[in-house]
Amino acid sequence: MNSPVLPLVSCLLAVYAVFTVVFYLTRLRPGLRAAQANSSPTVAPVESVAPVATGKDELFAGNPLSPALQRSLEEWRNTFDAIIDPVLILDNELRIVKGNRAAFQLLSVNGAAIEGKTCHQLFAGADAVCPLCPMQTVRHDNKPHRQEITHRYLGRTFSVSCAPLFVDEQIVGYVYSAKDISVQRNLEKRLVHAHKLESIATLAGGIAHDFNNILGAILGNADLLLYRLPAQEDTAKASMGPPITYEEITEHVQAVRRAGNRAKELVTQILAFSRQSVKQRRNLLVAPVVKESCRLLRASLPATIELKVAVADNIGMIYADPGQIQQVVMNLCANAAQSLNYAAGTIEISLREIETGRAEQLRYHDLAPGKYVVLTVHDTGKGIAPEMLERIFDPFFTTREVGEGSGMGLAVLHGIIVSHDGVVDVKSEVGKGSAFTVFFPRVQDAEGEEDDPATAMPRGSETILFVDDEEDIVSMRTRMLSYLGYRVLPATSPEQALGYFTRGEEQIDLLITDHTMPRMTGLQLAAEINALHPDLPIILCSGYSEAVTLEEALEAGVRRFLAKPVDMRLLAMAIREILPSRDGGEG
Amino acid sequence: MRVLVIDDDEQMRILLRQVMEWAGYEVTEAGDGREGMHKQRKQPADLVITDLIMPEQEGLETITSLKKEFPHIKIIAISGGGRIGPEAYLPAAQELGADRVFSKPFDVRELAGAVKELLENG
Repeated sequence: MNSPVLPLVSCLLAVYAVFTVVFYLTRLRPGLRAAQANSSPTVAPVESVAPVATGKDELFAGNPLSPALQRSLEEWRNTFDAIIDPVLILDNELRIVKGNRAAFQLLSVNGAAIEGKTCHQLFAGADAVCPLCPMQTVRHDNKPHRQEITHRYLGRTFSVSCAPLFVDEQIVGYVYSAKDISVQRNLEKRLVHAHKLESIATLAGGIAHDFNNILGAILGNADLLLYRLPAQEDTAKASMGPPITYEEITEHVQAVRRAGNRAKELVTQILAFSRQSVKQRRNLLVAPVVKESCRLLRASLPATIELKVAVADNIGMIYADPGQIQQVVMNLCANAAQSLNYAAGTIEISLREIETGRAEQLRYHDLAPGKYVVLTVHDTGKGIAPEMLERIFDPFFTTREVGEGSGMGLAVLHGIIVSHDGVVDVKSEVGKGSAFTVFFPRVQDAEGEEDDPATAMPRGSETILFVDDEEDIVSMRTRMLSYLGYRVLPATSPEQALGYFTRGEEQIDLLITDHTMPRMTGLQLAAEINALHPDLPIILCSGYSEAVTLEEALEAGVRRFLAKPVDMRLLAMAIREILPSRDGGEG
Repeated sequence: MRVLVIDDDEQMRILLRQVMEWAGYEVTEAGDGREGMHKQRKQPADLVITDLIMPEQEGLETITSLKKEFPHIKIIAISGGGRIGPEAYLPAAQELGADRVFSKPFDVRELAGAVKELLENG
């Protein structure tokens, strides 16, 4: 317990003891409380009289007290008034029975007594109980409670504690203490605001730098084209240099396109950075996501970089967005690879589960006690200087990243990790390497069944012919479907797809085709194949769902239609829905 | 005549090369100040176009080194700004000896014109 709380508790106990005595006496003398309440407007301000004199004389008039009891009463009143925070003793209707000096100073208007008034009248200027009043919880469970309340009426924020007073196990009133924390809260708000402004300034500068480069490339290439292209009248328009060639024109246009794509990527990253809400979170088995990320990563890293993956068995679930977790892993590893200058070195990725002990809590102040799934990415790269470590998660911090990307990677990661209630830590030594450790709170076993997409996605081992005119999509889908256990025959044109059937070398169980392709649409391809193999199930994927009617699709033998971009989980489920029914002879 | 182009942004480097070739100059490229200095020592250029915010060796440092080792070299500084905007960097570049400064994005014809003027009229 904090040291400032001890005296307060002692005082409250003293208040409670004396209150009980007073209450007992009051009950012995019916009408006294009412008399006290009614007489309160005439009671002199606490500060202006001797502390003990106010209530005692009235309470005990004509009822002499023993010197010992009188001393006790004086002591409690002195103690009560010495408490620097406003303390109130309230009856069951939240009317003030007694307030200490600080309460009087805060709540009294023009020196008028506060006794007899309700606390919500004085704190909030309201006739009803304040919505956040801790009394409501206290009344419910008979235990003391604390609540932070901002009272606009007084223009201040309080940490309000409320403890019940019992007689014969019945609540007969409450002791309120309202610690004014306005200054503290305002300071905090200003600090947060200042940090936010700093981040925005850093972010704006970084965005401006990247966008100026992008604009430079777009405008520069466009200008060069305009200056160099011959005018229609066939006069020599270009003021200098040789005439432009077809290859040069293509090069300029491609440069404009590349710059446009960079701008697009930058916008995506900015949006990811600014995104506040997490919409795709669910209970997730994180191990398969990490393993899959590592697999994808292996393909994109140079062979000189050794990738070591250590994922412990039986890692629990976290409440997370799988896409964002993948982004964290990929981005940390990309960062590690960059730190290795994409040359020789090692990146170690580990996933384990821990229960935080005192050691962890001392090191990571933000970490609440409990179980965590811990991801660590360690590289043997050049390391980060100590003075840089504090700022690496700021957007656009390093100039190094300016030429290599937007410089937003770690800032975005930080945003993702924090939004997952996670904590990230980095240890680094110049010349030796860095280790990023991310703690994600582990979901309790009882909180949900596994619904991780990578493991819960239905799998199979059939042969699938996948057709799309975009090579990138074909290679991505091939990888994904292979990952689910299928044998995939890739085709980047309808003709190539038809070739598999005309050769008849392969036993194909399912056709998945894009719709919009040159020379032949997916629907036409489906119809053609359906004519040859009416039992072959077909899934059609298209970005233009309106271009294909249900009747047309059914007529062409299409069993399922999926809108692009196709969700992997939906596709996996669609495949399983179609294929077993075929095995069962229903199709 | 030869122009050395120093910029960490590859697309910008390609554009600068194209502009300079269009204007009739031979071009050497470098991705940062350190590489720029190395290439300049190996194959001296008559004029250097350098970005200001770069990894390894920043533009301002590069300008200082260039002026020290090659006192007669012409320098054009370009910048897209950064955390404090191009206006904070470009005057500093001029003070350190840059003959002309351009903010990104710039007009390629103006840049080519400036190069021509500096190289022909000194």
